[in-house]
Amino acid sequence: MKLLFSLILAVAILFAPLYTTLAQQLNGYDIMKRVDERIIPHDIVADMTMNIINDKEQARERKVHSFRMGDDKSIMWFQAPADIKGSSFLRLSYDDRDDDMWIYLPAFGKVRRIATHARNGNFMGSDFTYEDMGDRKLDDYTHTLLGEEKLGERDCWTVESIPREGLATDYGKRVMWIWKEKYEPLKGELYDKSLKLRKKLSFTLTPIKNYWVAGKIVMENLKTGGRTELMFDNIQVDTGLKESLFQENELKKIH
Amino acid sequence: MKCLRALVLNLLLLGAVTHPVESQTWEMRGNLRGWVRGFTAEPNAIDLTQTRLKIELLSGFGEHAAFFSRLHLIHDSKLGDEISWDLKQAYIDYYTDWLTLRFGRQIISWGKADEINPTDILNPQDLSNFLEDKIDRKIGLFTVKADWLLYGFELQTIWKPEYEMMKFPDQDSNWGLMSSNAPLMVVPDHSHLNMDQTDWAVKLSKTFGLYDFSLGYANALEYIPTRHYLPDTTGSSSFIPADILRADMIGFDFAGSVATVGLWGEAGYFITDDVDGNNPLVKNPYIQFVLGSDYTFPHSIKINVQYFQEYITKVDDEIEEKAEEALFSKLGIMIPLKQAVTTRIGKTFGFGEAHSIEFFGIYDLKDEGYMVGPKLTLSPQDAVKFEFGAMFFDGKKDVLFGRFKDNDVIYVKGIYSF
Repeated sequence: MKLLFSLILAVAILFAPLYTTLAQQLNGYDIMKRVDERIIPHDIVADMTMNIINDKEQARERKVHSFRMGDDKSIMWFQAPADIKGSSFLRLSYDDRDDDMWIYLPAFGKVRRIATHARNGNFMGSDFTYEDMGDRKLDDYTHTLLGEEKLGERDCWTVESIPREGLATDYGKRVMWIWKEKYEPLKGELYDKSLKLRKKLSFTLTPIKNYWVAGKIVMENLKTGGRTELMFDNIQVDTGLKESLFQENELKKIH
Repeated sequence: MKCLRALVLNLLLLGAVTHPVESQTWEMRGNLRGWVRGFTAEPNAIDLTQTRLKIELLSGFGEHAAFFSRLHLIHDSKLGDEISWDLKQAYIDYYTDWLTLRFGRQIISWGKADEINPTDILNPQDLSNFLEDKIDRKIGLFTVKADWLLYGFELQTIWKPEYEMMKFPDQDSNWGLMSSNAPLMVVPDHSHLNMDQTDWAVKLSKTFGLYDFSLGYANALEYIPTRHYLPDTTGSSSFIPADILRADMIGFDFAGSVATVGLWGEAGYFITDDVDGNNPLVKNPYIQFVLGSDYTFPHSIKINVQYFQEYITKVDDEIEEKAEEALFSKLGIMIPLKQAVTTRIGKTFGFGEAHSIEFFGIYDLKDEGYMVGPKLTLSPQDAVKFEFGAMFFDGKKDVLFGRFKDNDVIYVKGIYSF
């Protein structure tokens, strides 16, 4: 009896790590849910420089002063070039429906809502579409864990996300590299509807206070050979921004 | 001399406050635009050679106040050597969490439609160069505007103690809207108003789901005078007394999407002085509305289409209807258009989508005339643009576009922004 008991105990101890690993095994949905739920700053204020670079390495620069609250709200004012200075853009995301987006163009003196069909258009002539600038809803996609990979010193999961039937998107699927330790995206591949690789995305993260914040984001457009680089400077987090800043009437204010 | 004084004043203002002042920032921006335009019909006369310097001065004073001004300095060779100046806007903003107060000379835009806006009545327009961009045709007026945020609604209240009439092209010019023999109207001076002659307006706006809605009301002086009597057929009267009447507008607009198609609408009901429809010189109360839709096709091709209609109330018969239709709407869109379709087709292209090609057209369904304007904009580098375009007109004689059928033009603009 004693021998049998000892044998059972030995087997349990031997296989305990396996049970632990199985219990902790995450699927693609779990990983992306944790990405959604990771702790992020209450708000971020930053100066963003957008360099649009073509296949001949010629560049056009846009400068933006941006304000962001969580993942749901962002508003920005364009500072350069001179012909778009004073323009502004507001995005509000929701759990249960598409984002609302508005743009103010001083040349028209009016705030204009950006309709759903325009969201696949390029944001200010860059390689980012309005859809890329917006928030993706977790349940709009089927997420599959493809495997694991090391990016530099960071262990990552690779997760494939395929949009649900009927979702208004230009993409057939996305593959994201998620840093295991912090649930932060580090890299992405965006495929068109025929599942051809069209764009590559990379994030350079900067530690600020207790957060990892994107200091640089690059979108490479494989179709055109160009790329757009977003560089964030003077980043401030948790500044106490108010929700009232993220409203349509704010777009026409002087900033 | 006056324009030089205005420019010096703006620069002094900038200079006086660029000494370091805590929490105050100043900025100057604007553009220099050259515009040359010629008729395509013989003898291919030059219609316009204009140089315009637009200067904007802005300042923020901490988190709660700001200042904005926009000044245009214009040289038009047809008007001689004088440089004219136009202080388009100059106002102070004061902000709290729930109130934005704007005080000073300003241009306010109401309405969601493209170019034809029945509810956009808070500023008159200078149509002496009606091929100018709409925002620059508008005449700034001293206004006190307050935007209140109340329980998720935005309430805008407006008080306008200044008045100016609409400006029309010279009757003798190629762009005159009336016959050069038409008697001139003599209108009492409205530049000095009493308190009970000032305009006021309110608008309530809210976003519900995917749609933005606004409901507005305005009580305003009309921008076009109304004759006291009809000119006699002998033409012996060279002057006709006229006056500026007051009207009310109830306006509504919305903008949103249905599936992936953009949708908007705008309507105004204008209650004129002739509420009972008995005065042949005053337009009966009328409704103007626009319905529009847009869509972006692959390869960044954008199309929008709008339908416009004016409906005149209290009309007894066809004779009265024709007579009423001949009267200008003196608020609303303020041009003699009754039923029309507009379309705008555009595509951006090139590096950074900095270039564009666009086609804009208005087809007058009632009088069977049209105005179409193709335009190519090239931006070889940031802050520099060249625009190559044309405007073509056709229609029956003596109707809105038909009267300009010999005025087809081509033009070039060069714009440097700073």
